[in-house]
Amino acid sequence: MALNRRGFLGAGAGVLAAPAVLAEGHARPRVLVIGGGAGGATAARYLARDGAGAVAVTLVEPSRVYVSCFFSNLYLGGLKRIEEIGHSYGGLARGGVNVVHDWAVAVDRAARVVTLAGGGELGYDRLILSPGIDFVEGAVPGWSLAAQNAMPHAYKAGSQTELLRAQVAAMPQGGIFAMVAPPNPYRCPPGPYERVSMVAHVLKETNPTAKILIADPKPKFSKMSLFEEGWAEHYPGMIDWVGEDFGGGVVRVDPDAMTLSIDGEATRVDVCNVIPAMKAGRIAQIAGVTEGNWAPVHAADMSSRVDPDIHVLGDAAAQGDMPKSGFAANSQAKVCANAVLAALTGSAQFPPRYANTCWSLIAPQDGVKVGATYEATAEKIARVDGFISQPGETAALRRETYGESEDWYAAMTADMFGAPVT
Amino acid sequence: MAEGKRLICGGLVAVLCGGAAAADALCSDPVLPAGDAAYGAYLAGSCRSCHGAGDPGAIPAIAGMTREDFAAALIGYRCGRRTHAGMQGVARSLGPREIAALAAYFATGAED
Ligand SMILES: Cc1cc2nc3c(=O)[nH]c(=O)nc-3n(C[C@H](O)[C@H](O)[C@H](O)COP(=O)(O)OP(=O)(O)OC[C@H]3O[C@@H](n4cnc5c(N)ncnc54)[C@H](O)[C@@H]3O)c2cc1C
Repeated sequence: MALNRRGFLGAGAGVLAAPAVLAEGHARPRVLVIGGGAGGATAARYLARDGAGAVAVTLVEPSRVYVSCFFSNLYLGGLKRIEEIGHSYGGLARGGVNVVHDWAVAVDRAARVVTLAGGGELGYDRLILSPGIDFVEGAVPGWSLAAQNAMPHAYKAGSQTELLRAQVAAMPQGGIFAMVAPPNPYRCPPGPYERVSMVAHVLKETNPTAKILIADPKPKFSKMSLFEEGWAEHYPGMIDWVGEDFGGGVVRVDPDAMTLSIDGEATRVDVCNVIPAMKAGRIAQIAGVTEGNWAPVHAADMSSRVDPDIHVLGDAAAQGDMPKSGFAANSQAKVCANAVLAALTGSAQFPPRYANTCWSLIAPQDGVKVGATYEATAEKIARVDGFISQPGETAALRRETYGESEDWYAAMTADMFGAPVT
Repeated sequence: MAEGKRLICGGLVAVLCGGAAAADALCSDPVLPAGDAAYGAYLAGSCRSCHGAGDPGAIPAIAGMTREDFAAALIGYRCGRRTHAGMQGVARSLGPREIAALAAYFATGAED
């Protein structure tokens, strides 16, 4: 059994950890969660629910509606409506989470106070950061946030995703959809390729002579053989993937001229989906818990290796072998919530458990998946055991796999946000 | 417990049970310890990522399963009598103590 660094006290042992922190003058220990996505919403919900009022839980999140990146490619493919991937925070509020719609802009770790963009201040006994990703400035020459309307990333879901869908719909017959794929590590390893699949599905129906051009800095990508097989079957001749060996990493874009240059050769394109290199959401860096682009954490409880009062979840964390996925963030959040409650209230702390499955859709009803279980070691979250869909599977199995992803989406968003308030 | 064919685990002794030998014993002679429902409540968090409360579709609902059915299903996956790549991996990552805890928890009806 992998041991928690604070020591695992099994319930069978009949001993509970003493409350470690109870700042004087506060009736209840305070947990502050920054970011209401896959990691943060789950952590806030589990803290409020399992803590049953013993801790005060506040969630800071600027958006009133969380548009999930997961299934946003299905929206691009015309298979989901935007409302189907949007989730409000009302269920969390009803569940006892104090939801504050604002941005965290500063973290005073010595005083344990977070400052909000609106000017407010929130103190904490434990701080949980799950801010997702930001883009590395200058990662794609010619592209900046100022150009994201001409060349959307659509890698934070919402208006960017709607924009990209509108751009695909407006492509001239026989036009070119280009993607600049990101280098590792980045959120959702199969995400760019599922997106290509969904765009190809739309083009096949509405614009069959259109082409898709992918410039990729990597020599290979997640579920590559499955995607390549599916592309050849469903979209023959439509998709041209230019990997590292052919200069896919040597790119430049010109958002005014709408050109993409790969290894010095410029192509005029109609849509250019630029997905730059990523790093932890900026607040993690501001808090001073990052090393390089990501925030290193202990596998036992997702606590920061820099500050034991801070935990980092999801995409922002450097934790080891788990991919940056919503499933992984949700899994990490439950381990973290259990450990934080144990530290603050003396409730039982159980051994960490981590798992992940990422489903991807290649064409309607043609779903594939990859997944693994993990264990916490002193160094990292380490992969134990995994599985992946195989090429040549029957249509019935692929349909079943797609059905699983639908059920997972419903279950996981309910697990994050609780039942919607109707 | 490499030497004993039957697993007699419960309370404090349960922490001694686990690992590969226990896995084999579970497949041939599945005797589970008394389940700790509080531990099961924590472990159930992993189930909830996929198993929701909605209509059973490709992923079945598991809330309200009896202790026996729940344990039999997980042991079936663990021992390869039931096949599903994801669930087999999950079941292999659970020891007798975890399976018993989950079964005890789900039988409480707390997830219904
Ligand atoms: C196209 C695409 C497809 C994907 N498909 C899947 C899939 O099928 N399955 C899967 O498991 N994963 C998928 N993912 C990955 C998944 O979306 C992420 O891994 C997951 O959202 C990470 O959770 P998180 O909590 O780290 O970040 P997020 O879910 O992004 O949440 C971060 C939140 O923090 C908020 N925030 C940021 N900074 C601040 C601040 N300073 N103050 C307050 N709030 C702040 C943001 O507004 C945001 O709501 C996909 C991603 C993409 C882009």
